[in-house]
Amino acid sequence: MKKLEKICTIVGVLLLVAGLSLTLGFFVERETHYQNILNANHAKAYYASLDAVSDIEMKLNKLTVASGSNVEKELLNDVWMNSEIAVVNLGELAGKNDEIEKVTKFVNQLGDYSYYLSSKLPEEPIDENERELLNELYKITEELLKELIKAGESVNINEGLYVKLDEAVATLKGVFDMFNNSIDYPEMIYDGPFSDGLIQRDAKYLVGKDVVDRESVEGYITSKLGFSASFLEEINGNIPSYVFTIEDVGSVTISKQGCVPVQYASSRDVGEKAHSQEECIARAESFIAGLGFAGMRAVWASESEDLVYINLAYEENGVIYYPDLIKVKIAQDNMEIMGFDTTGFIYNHTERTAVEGVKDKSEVKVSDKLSVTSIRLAVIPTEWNKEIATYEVAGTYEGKIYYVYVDAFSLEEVKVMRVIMDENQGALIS
Amino acid sequence: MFSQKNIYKYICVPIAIIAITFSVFIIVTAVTPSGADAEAAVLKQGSSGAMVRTVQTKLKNWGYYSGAIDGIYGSRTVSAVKYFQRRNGLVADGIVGKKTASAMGISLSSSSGGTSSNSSDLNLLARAVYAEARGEPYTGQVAVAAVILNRVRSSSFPNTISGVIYQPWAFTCVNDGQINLAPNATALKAAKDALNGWDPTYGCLFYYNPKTATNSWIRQKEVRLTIGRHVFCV
Repeated sequence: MKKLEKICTIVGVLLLVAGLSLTLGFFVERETHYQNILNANHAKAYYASLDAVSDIEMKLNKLTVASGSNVEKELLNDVWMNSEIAVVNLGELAGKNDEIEKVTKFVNQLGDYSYYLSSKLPEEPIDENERELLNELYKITEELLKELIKAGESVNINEGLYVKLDEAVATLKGVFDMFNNSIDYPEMIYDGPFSDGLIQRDAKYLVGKDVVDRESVEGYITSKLGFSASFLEEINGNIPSYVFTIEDVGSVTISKQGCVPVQYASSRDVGEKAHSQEECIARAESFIAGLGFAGMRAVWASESEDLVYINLAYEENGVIYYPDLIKVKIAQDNMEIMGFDTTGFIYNHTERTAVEGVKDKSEVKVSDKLSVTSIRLAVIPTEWNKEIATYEVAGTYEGKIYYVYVDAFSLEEVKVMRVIMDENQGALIS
Repeated sequence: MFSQKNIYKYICVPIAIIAITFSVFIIVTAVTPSGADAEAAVLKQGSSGAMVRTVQTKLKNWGYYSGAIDGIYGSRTVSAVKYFQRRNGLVADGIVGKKTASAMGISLSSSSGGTSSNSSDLNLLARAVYAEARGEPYTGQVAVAAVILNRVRSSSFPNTISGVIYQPWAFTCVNDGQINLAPNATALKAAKDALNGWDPTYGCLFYYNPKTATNSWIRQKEVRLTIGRHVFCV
């Protein structure tokens, strides 16, 4: 009996050791497998960043001696394209803090600036100041490339770098330090999507309006919006505002200057649809007019889950001003206003002067393939933070709806938009 | 003192049982895909919303349900679901899980909010909102989505929604896997509002919970506003 117990004990212990060893082995194997995949991704991101920055450096270098606008345009477009690739891959090398932001910002703005210069060519050649700036940017990119190469040499990128997280971040330390300490990169003065100009924006509509106190705003919310709201906080920024909460519903924001409603967002389950889109559009127009925004008309509406999203733009003398935009969300069960946003209007609306000197509507030419349904004058915002007067041409081709925007002065096409055909498709209201 | 028999009985056997249980647990845990962490979307008594209304409508059309289509999963809905399950060879537990939903011809996963949008961006954004801000006020959920979109527009971050969300260590929900949870209807609505241009933060690029944030650098950012438990900053 004793012998049997002894054998059982030994067998039990051996089984236990074998089981634990197997489990451990399984874990180690699986961990190694995952680490290899992660390392490969990390190494790929590093090499792709290196390739892209290397290309940018070479193209900027060539730009210092190039003088023909065709070649310049090609080189600038290459810089722009490679900056996009570099940003995607640098993003994957990010560390636990915000150090990567400065590098990303530099590369993004460099690409954006190159695109800006390229889009001006050949009509507006690169001037001396721009050429000097490009040369400075080249020198910084040269340094960035050196640091990136150094980072790769300092550790073996291919072996387990991703696992050693701290080391991974440290790899790019030289690059981060460069942007934190030794490089004071020049401001790229232009109006592009990534320009610093967009961070600080003027609220044109609020200029000259008096600042109101909190109590007055509270009274306004009750009388005009019909909410019982309680004060939450003040926000400073481009549109200094008061924020009020509406219990169980959402919150509403009102500007301090001029007591202008800025935003309201709420959510609830919407019951069965009882009102048409047209009714909701009429409701949105009267609601916005009631808030004191005159001359607004619905220009776009889309439905989603029995909610209608309506965009209203300012109209004067038959011209639609798309930058002066207000958005309204209405529930189709009882036509309750579920949200609004007037920031587009507040940032952009100012006294509009008549659009004069444009070509006649009859001169507008678009692709023969398009069956044109309407043409109207519209001022649209450009990605360069400017506005241009255009003819908005609505049309269809192979069952799809397109909007083509043609410069009203030069008759050049500036933008083509296609309505995405899903169940939420919207429609321009002409 | 313990006899050899007692040692075997009281020490070796329990150790062996514990060790085997532990090993089985580890192996089961190890071979279960991490995706299983994702919360299975189910509808049960107490649920409400558009999806419940869809279930009620379907059951009513098929003659299983005679109550009101009110979007509230009450006892009558439970009975109707059980009836449906029995008739369709399913476990009659009165809960609409994956199998029952599939038998009804509805999907509870990403479209639990009843959205008909196929946009992967919307879905990804809604998952981030749900994982990061469920339980926050509605405006707070829109604000989280808006911060992600503000980052897409900012020069300091990647230029796509997926690039921003999956940037290493940018959002804790990616690290702990909560990004894979199916978003609820509110998160989808919040994401949709943000994609439609609502930004309660006026351009903020960061947010954190002051009670739980451990990074000192984020506390140096300029705070613009507080919504629920999150402070939003630039």
